[in-house]
Amino acid sequence: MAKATLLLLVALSVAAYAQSVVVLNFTALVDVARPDFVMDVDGCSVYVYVVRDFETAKTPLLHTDVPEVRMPASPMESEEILDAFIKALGPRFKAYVTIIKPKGGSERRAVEISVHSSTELRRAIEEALGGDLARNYIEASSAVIKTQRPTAYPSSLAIEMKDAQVFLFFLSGGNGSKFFQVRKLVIEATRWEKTFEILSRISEAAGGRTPPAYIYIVPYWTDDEEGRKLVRVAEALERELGTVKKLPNGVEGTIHVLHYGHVGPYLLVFPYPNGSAPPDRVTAEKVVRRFIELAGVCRSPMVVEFWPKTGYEWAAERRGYTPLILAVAAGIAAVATAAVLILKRRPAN
Amino acid sequence: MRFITPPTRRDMPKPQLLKSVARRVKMWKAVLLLALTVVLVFAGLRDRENPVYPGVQIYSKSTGVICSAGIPVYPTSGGSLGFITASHCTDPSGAGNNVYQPNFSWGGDNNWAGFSIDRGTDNPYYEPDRSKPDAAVWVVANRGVSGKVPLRYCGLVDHPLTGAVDDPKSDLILPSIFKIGRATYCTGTWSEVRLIYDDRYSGSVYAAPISSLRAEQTDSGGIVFSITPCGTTICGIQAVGIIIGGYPQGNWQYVLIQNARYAMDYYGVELYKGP
Repeated sequence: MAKATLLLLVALSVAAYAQSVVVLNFTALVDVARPDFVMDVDGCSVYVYVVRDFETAKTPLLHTDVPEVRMPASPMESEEILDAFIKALGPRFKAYVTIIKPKGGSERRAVEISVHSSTELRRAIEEALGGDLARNYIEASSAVIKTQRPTAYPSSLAIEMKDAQVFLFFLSGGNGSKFFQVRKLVIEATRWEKTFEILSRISEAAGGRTPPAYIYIVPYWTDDEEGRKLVRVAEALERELGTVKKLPNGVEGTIHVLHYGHVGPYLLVFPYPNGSAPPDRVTAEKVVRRFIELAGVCRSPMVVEFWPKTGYEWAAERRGYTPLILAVAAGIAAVATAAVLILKRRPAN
Repeated sequence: MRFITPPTRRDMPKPQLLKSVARRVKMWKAVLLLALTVVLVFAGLRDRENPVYPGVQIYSKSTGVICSAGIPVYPTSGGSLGFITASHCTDPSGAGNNVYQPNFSWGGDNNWAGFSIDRGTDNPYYEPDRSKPDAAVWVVANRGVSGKVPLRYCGLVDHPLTGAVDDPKSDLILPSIFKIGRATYCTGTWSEVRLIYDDRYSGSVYAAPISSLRAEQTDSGGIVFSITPCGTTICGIQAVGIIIGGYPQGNWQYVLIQNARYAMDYYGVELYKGP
């Protein structure tokens, strides 16, 4: 009996853990890993990390996870979450649909809709799209195979506020040979208070139950155009620094511009500007300032890491077979010698 | 002087002998079980296979590079079946451009499994001809070809490809992404993934976060795909591309993928959707 109770408790705690509100704090990333120094460039904070050793370095990109907190949530059906989402944040949404094409590939399109409940959703999207909408990914892919015509299905609902973005993703999941539909609620904001205010509104609409959700505290949002511009700036600076070298299996010394999907902070990875020696503060500052000067923009906070090695490399491995053959031969010789020695040590009976 | 020697089996009293035998049997069982586990875990992709299928290990003798097979294809003008793999995995077209599977061996047929047609680039970052992809075609000979993606490594049932995703030359959002290669086998995610188009590389290259698509050395050439579930079965598998590399060096945060559609058009081949 006691064992059964214990098992039940374990099962319940596992279920509670699976149904969580997961808070990821991207803004706190720079506080978790201590920078070598922080630069202030016209009010923009640049956190600079000089990596000397990949194994021991602790930077936002190395050996550091985005700070995470988990809180219990109420188990809720997908449709209940959708209803609460619409009721709490509606009626105006941006609906993203994915259109699957018969020859392969898909296209994403956004439409503006106005809905008051989940039952109105499909019709509202169909009206905005001017065509039929499959219920989900599974239905759409079956329809494409059957009809050989492009078919759309809803992929997410979004609402963009001044200081927050909220998404409800309609996902298909898989676990072994079983597939299922899930709703993923993502609340992004620059302030804690805002995210919890939005979550409270959804909870209230769900009759006091807290839906499982992902909460992202973000310093800012990135955009495609800005990202591309920073890559061009990186290329220009690489040329100025002269760090780029061709390798037999790739390239060395490039500057990488990274970010977490569409959320900040920007994470810039620079090679050492002077060969193999890590840059001193003056040199590092000079490089960072030049990057910002070329970019004409600095998003605060921004992370800059100087790495002993940058650039891309093949995912292949050169392997000559001669050493392997020699190793096998040496192994056989060692085993044979050991066998002879053991036999010699055996007392003769 | 008295030498202490370890007791031999004859020195032991009977019950101890039995115990020793039992211990040895247990140890051998454990060794066998371990060996069997190792064989099962590493079986398949790194073994000699016939027919060959996406993800199997390949070896190119003169470059000495170990890689993985990618997307099953056939030439639209007619000819043998083969696979799109990475150009840096194969020798340039010409004499000696042999492909071995899983690797070169001194005996028998040397594990010879065909040859490569390689008009691609080994270094898409530096390639002056921006149209050249880091892709080549392995034309299979001496073996059969299976078009089925070995989804058994992902806990599913093997399934042929049903199509290929577009090459929009801008960020691409996929509902799921997986890859199969000889280093890390099946990795990927059922969550929506955004592939970042990266025009710093020739051909058509996209980057995926390593947190969504783990890959390592020798996964190059391996197939990248997106699964379309359909109830409790699979309705479709879209070829996305092949693994070509990762960055930053030594500590990959992103995995680079050469787009499948682009590579197929470049070589005038089409997806092989057969069994």
